[in-house]
Order: sequence, then structure tokens, then C-alpha cells
Amino acid sequence: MTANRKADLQRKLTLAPVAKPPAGLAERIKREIPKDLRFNAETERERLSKAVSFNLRVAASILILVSSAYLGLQLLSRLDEKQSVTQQPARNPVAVRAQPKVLTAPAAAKEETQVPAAPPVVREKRAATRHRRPTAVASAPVPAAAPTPPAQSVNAVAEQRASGIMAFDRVASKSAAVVADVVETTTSPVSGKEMRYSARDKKVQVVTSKLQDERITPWASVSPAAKLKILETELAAGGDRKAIARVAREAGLTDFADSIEKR
Amino acid sequence: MLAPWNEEGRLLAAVRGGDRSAAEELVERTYSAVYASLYRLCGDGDLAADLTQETYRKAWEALDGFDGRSQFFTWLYRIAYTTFLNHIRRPRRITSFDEEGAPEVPDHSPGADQLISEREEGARLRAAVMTLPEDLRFTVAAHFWGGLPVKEIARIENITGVAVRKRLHKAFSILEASLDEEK
Repeated sequence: MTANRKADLQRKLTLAPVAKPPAGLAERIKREIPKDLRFNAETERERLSKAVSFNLRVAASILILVSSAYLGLQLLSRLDEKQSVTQQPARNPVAVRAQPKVLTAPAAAKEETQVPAAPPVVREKRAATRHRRPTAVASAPVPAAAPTPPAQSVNAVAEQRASGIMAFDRVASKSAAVVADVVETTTSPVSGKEMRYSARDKKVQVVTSKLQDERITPWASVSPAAKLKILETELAAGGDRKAIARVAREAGLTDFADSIEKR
Repeated sequence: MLAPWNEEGRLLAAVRGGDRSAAEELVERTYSAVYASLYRLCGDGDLAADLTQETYRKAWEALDGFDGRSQFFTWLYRIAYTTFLNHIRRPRRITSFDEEGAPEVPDHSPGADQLISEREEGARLRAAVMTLPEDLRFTVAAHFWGGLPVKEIARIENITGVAVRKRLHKAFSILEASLDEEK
């Protein structure tokens, strides 16, 4: 394209006819100006702030929703954990709680020797816990017909316990709490009084009036936990220490007997 | 020609404050230029007037959306141009005045032939501009018929001034070819 040709085109485009607007066009346009022309800054600001607050509310709602969902999940998972911990021993109570019954003498001795030295009070507690387990077995719906685990596996468990796994005891005590109450009534060999032991409350009462269908269990058949509690009650009531220690030793509560004799 | 966009900023602020007289003054200052540019686009006085009216109608409705990035007149010209495009794209009935039996009115005024020739040439040029691609068409129309400077066109089109000049150059080439074909 030549410069002349370009200039000619530009001239033609620029010199396009310039028409005058018809008369009255301005009036027609002015008549159509809307009545409310106000561009209200306040309204705009309000609208903007409303939009911002709405967005904030939405964001806050989402945050709350997410965090509550997270907390809920956490809570559920914890509950599940708790349930599994409590249910695991309860599922096969015989297998777990019958262990002390089948403990062979060497294994028991091994257990006693391998348990780290503890203050007498702790030892008493451990003994009580240990002896409570058969109580739970007595109360369990699956009675003596349940198969007893082989001595080898029991020994393995005993070794585990001896190596300081205290969690087992805690779980056992928890599962024992789940089991229904068992009441044993017997005659104390120390004072000759009839005493009632509640496995759930772990309390001993002197029998003043017998309950309906209440039978007196011979001392030899009473659970070790009941024996221990009864002997503790006797001791607290000022019973003969030597007699209590002797009875405790006969009942296999050597820890308890030792602790009495040492006092 | 007095640039119609010089004092528009001040008037616009008053209009936004609800001042009706400012709006009227804004119309007074700009409507001739809007009308002229539309007339150059369509070549019809009545149609240009109608389109001018429609342009302002749309402008009042869209006034809140005017961000002041370009001059008010540039913005207004964009509306006018779009209004024109919408009009020519709209299907409509065309009534020809050159029907058979229509009375022939002789024009005895001096230089009528010359006027007719100029009009015909103008019409040809306008028709050639209308065949340009959209971006080139708008650039040519806005620059030569709307009186918008290159800088303003660049601003409203979101391109550089160099790009606007390139568009114009390209448009000239196409127009030249198109007009030569007609000859």
C-alpha cells in the first residue's frame, strides 16, 4: 500500500459526512433519564459488607463442620478402642481367668521370683488382683466344663506377666468389673463369725440376717479373693495376727501371711 | 471539534451523586458525538437518532458498572457501537422506497450530482468497513467515525497502542483491496 493511497483512504474515512442531530433528540434522551440515578456509596458499602460477612459465615460454618466431624471421628475411634480393650478379655473369660488355677507350682514359684520387688502394699494389691481372677471364673456363665488351656501356654502368660506387663492386670481388673456380682458366705476360721463377701463391691460384711437362699460355703471352697478380704477384715477388727497369718498361709496367701508376720 | 470527554469525569461524579441536571448536561455534551458516530456507521439519520436514544437508555442502566478505566465517552461509544451491531444483526423487515410506482422527485439543487457521487462513495466505503473483521471494524469506526484517539481505543480494547495501529494498517490493506475490486 502506497503512502498516497493510505492518506487518501484516511481522508475519505475522516471526511465522512458529519450529520447534525435532529431537533428534539436531546430532549428525548433527557426524558429517558431514570429518576433514581443515585449511585449510593452507603448502599454499595453495605452490600459489600453483607457479602463479606456472608462469606465469613460460610467459611466459619465449614470450619465448624469440619472440626466437629474430625472430633466426632476421634471420639468414635477412642470409644472403639476402649470397647475392644474391654471386650477382648471378656470374650474368652475362662481362658484368661482360669490361668492362675492351672499354674504349676514351679511356674508359680518362677512368677514369684521374677516379679520385681515391690513395696508390701503393692504386693498385697497384686495378690488380691491375682486371686480375684478365679472369683470371676466362678461367676462366669461358662463353668468348669470349659477346657483348660495347656500348662505350657499358661506358663508363657505367667512369664509375660512376670516380665512386668502390668497392662494385663489392669485389663483383667476391668473385665472383672464387667462380670456380675458374686456373693460368697462362709464361716471365718479366725473368729468363727459368718461373713459375706461381695465380689462386685469387694467388701466383707458380718452376716446378721441371712438372705433368701443364702448358703454357707465351706472355707476351703471359698475363692482366694474372698479369703483374703475376710482375713483383712479380721485383721482390721483386731483379730489374732498369728492365727490370721496361719490361715492365710494355709489358704495359699503367702504374700499376705508374710506381710502380717513382718509387721 | 471539542473533545467531548474532557469534563465528563466531573459530571459523572455528580450523576452518581443523584444530580439529574448533571446527567442532562452529560447528555448535552455527548449526544451529538454519539449521534454523529452512529450516523457514520449506519448512514441513516433517523436510525442514528433511534440508536442514540437506545444507547443512552443502556448507558443509564449500566452506569454502576462503569469503572472509569476509560473515558466516559469511550465507554459510551462502545455501547453505541454494540447497539448498532445488534441493530444490523436483528432480523427486520426492509421497506424499499425504490418500489415501482413510487413518485420520482427530481432534485434540481446545484451540485446534486456531486453530492450523489460523494454519498455513493461514502456508502461504498461504509459497506467496505462493515465487511472488515470485528476487531478491525471497531477500531476503524471508533478512530475515524467516533473520533477516539488510539490511546483510548487501546484502553477499552485492553491492547497496546501499537496493536491498535497494526489493526488500522491491516484494515487499510483490506479496505484498499475491497474498494479496488468494486472498481
